Amino acid sequence: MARRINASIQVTCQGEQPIAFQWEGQLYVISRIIESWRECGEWWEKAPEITVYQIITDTQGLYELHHRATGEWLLYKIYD
Amino acid sequence: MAFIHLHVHSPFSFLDGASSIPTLVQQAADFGASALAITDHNNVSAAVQFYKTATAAGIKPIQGAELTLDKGYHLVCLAKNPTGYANLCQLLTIAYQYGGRSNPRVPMEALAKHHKDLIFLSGCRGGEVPSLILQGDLDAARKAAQCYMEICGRDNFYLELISDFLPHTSQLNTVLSQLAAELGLKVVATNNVHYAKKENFPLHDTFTCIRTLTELDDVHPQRRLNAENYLKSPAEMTKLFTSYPEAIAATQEIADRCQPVLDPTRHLFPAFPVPCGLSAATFLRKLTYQGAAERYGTITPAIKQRLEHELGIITRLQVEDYFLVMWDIACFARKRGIRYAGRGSAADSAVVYCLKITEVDAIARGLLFERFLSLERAQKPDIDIDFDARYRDDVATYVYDKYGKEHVAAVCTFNTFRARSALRDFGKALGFPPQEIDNLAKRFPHVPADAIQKALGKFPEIRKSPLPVWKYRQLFSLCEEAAGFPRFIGTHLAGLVISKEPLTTVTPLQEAAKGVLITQFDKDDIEDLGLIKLDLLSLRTLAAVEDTVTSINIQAAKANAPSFRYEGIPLDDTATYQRLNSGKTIGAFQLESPAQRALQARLGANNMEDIIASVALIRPGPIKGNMVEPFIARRHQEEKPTYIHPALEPILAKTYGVVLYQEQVIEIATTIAGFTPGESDRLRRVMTHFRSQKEMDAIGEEFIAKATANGVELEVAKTIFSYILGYAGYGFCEAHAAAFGDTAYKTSYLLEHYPAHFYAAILSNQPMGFYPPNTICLEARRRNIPILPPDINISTERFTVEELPLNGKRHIPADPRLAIRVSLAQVAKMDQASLEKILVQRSRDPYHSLLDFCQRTHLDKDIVTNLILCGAFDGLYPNRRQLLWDLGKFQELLPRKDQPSLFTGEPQLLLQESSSYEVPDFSPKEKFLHEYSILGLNATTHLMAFFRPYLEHRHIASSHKLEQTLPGGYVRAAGIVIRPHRPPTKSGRTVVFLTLEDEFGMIDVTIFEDVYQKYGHIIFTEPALIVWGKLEQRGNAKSITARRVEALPLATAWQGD
Repeated sequence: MARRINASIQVTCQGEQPIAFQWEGQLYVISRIIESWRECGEWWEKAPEITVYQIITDTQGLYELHHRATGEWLLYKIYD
Repeated sequence: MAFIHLHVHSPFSFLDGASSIPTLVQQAADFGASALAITDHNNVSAAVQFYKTATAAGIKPIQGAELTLDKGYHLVCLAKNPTGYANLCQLLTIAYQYGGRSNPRVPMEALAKHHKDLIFLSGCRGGEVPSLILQGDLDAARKAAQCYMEICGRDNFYLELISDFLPHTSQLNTVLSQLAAELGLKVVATNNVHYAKKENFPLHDTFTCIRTLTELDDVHPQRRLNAENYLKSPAEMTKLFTSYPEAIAATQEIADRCQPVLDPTRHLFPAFPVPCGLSAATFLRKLTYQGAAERYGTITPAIKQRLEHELGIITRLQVEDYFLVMWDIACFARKRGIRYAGRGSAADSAVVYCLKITEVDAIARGLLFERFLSLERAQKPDIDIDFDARYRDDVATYVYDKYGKEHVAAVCTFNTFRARSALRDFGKALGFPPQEIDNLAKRFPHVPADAIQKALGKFPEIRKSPLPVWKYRQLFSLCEEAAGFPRFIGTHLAGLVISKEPLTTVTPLQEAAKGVLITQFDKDDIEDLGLIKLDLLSLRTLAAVEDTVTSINIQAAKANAPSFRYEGIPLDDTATYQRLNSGKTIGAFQLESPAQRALQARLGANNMEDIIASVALIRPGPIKGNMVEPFIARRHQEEKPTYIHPALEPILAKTYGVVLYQEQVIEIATTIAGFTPGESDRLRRVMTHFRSQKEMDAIGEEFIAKATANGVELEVAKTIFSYILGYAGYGFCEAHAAAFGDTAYKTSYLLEHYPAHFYAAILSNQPMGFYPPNTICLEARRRNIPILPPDINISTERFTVEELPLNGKRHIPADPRLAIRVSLAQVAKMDQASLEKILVQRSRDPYHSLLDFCQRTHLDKDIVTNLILCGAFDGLYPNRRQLLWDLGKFQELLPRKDQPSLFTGEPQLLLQESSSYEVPDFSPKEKFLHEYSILGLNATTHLMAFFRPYLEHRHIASSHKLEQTLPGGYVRAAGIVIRPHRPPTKSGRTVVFLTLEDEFGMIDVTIFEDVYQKYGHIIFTEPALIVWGKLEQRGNAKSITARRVEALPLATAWQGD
């Protein structure tokens, strides 16, 4: 089961890699990046490039974060 | 750390490479790269351009390709040296033989045979090893890697790491690296480059949509997820591969192992098989003098001197074999009775004339050999020969047979993105409705794709169109970015190459659409490989000439008259010049366009020099250079030619003091400035191409310095150079004009003296010339030559000339009235097999009825229907609708495709031949429309005849009435629009020329910029126009200078109110 959140979040990075994020006042520490990739999306609709991170937090939560080329971070999905 | 890109796609990956070769090379140079590879999909077409661009930029070009293997996997391949390149060419040739032209595949056995001096990289995710890893089958991936290693050698096979930010990239690279360590292989980093910069991704993505026939909103596995496949800097690549420094180091190692593979100094033209004991030079000399004896009779010292001069240059350039090959081809054509004519600058050569390749006497005309061939330029010779279009392929077959199929191939050509093609392809990918894109594309003139934005403001047919141009901003931008990129490879219509080495070691060969084997290099690049192109062209005019001569002689034989010889046409025939002077020259080679007709009506040509000048004058250059008016004025002695230096008079006298020909520029430079002929030709080329003002200034200074040193006054030298400068880019090759002039005059003679035969021949050889067949029919009728509809018992496969009976009696043979019978081949849907069936059955017995015809020919119903509707059965039964009705009754008995005929002759299947009641026939208008749609022409009448009541009611004049109207007044005329066009002008302002055609003839219309800007949106889009303007008389012809233009309302006019 996955829930689409698509909410703006604060992310702490080490280099270019996310290591923790805050959502609804709670801090989530990333224990592992499972996979990441980059997508151009619908460039013809002026959609920005995004880097997708599928991550596991130290509480074993599975999340998908999107990092837009504009600098904005989104919590895109939660996998229950 | 140095990094070299070894996996790079150029636009020659055909819709999978989105940056030009110069852009890629420049960017690599900006990064300080010492080398760069190009690895296009299954071809090396970029090789020559890449070699030149990279070498000029100080970068070592590494030539490779990304091969597709028999199982569909990709494998990158790099040539270490010329041997490796030859093997790559072999592999690619095999790939096209094995998989066909649209699905090339290299079988593994071929890889095992031709891997020497090649380095292989495992490829992108389409490669076998990475693909199997991504499928999770590590054992299979290991086996595949071992297999490549065994075939290619451990040192020549690298596992390719690509960090392209796709899912599973890091895991894939980890496994590839571990596999390399396990097998003792090396890894190498690439970026599988498809474009130079990240911002080029939209173009590449849209290319992918075009390639996969999808739209941007569609999902397709070949579309790339991101924009990471750009030419990244060494710093970016090093950072991406921090964990694999050895993969970065391997790029330099591989680059060091690869050397440039092309050798521009190579000479691959084969030795001509000369008779025993003779060298090519001796044999050429012998043939030249034999020919000279036949051409000139007595060989004077001047002739000998000229021939020796030319032979000396030919020998020093070591191109004797080329001349002998072309001589041999001309001999073959002559022996086979194939009509041919040499053209182009080769007509500047007396040797070529003596070899009977051209018909222009270069010595008599004082033509300069150096325009064709010079030591200084040392360019490869280029002899172009036109052949009767029907037999050009027979000539090519002779070349294949003589030199061997492995040594001969057709030269390819690349179809590139221009405005219309780009709008159609990109518009479809962007999801615009097809009809909308069609409307948009058709409104654009034939301009390059990067001139679209400029065209938007310039052309009213676009600017004033109802199309929402604002919607297309993204479309226009993509089109402009793709300008000039190759879309697909095709066959050059004329070019063949012959090689002494098997061609597959020089260029890959692949099958083109027509089954012809073509090179992967076009006509420009092929010569840089050491090959010389032979231009064997098809010219339908020569086919028409041949048909005319045959037709005349058939008639002559019937009348016991002497046979006609085209070669014997007198060059001073008064009637022919009168025809030219009338401007009524539709059908004459090179002299039939509206601009030519207008010139002829004013020029008053009365000798061959006038014809040759005419051919040269109506060209974009001389028109743009405003040479036409001074030429006509001086021709009529309205202006006196002045020569600023006495030495100019003999050079320019034949063109009344106007610098018209390229040869004249060369001669001026030689005479006035003492340039060598080769230096003069360099001047001619600088002028003709006019690429750089700096280059022009430099050669100007050189000219003036040498001229003054030669005793010419400074001011005079400067003025003479200004004349030449005024000519820059405008002049035409006199030899070419002379070669075409001969055919132009002789076809004018045919037009004057044998119009029925000549028009019939033109109609049989369509498409040819400037006008559609219906216009030719109109012209024939105008000259009192009836066009007879097709007749099932008379028409043949070609248009034929018939003598018309008069009051039941024939005219006297010496003065028959002639008509043209429309061919059966002209009938829509008629194929060769059906045509032969009709003729074979008819040769046994004429057809007696429709049923008789159907029973004996068993033709497809659609063909029979068309034959009925265009009137081919009128001679048997005049009611076409009745015949259709009858055909319906026969329908179930007619054969369908792939079924045996039911017309077996069984008595019970035979039907009554006529209906029990008569069906009313079609109206004349219906018949007219049927005929036009089926034949593409109307035999007896013209569309405008049906509009005449409407037009007369509105006082719109016919072309016939305009002929009788005094010029100077304002008139209204209407007609079908023929060939509207915008030639270049010196001022840069647009002038549109078009012809309005009605049932009586034609009237030419000139539309200047201000009127064009108001009405351009209908001029180029409406099939028929009404024009109001001033009737002008120019020479012997009239034309209208338009002031107002409107569309002829066809539907209303058709009702004829």
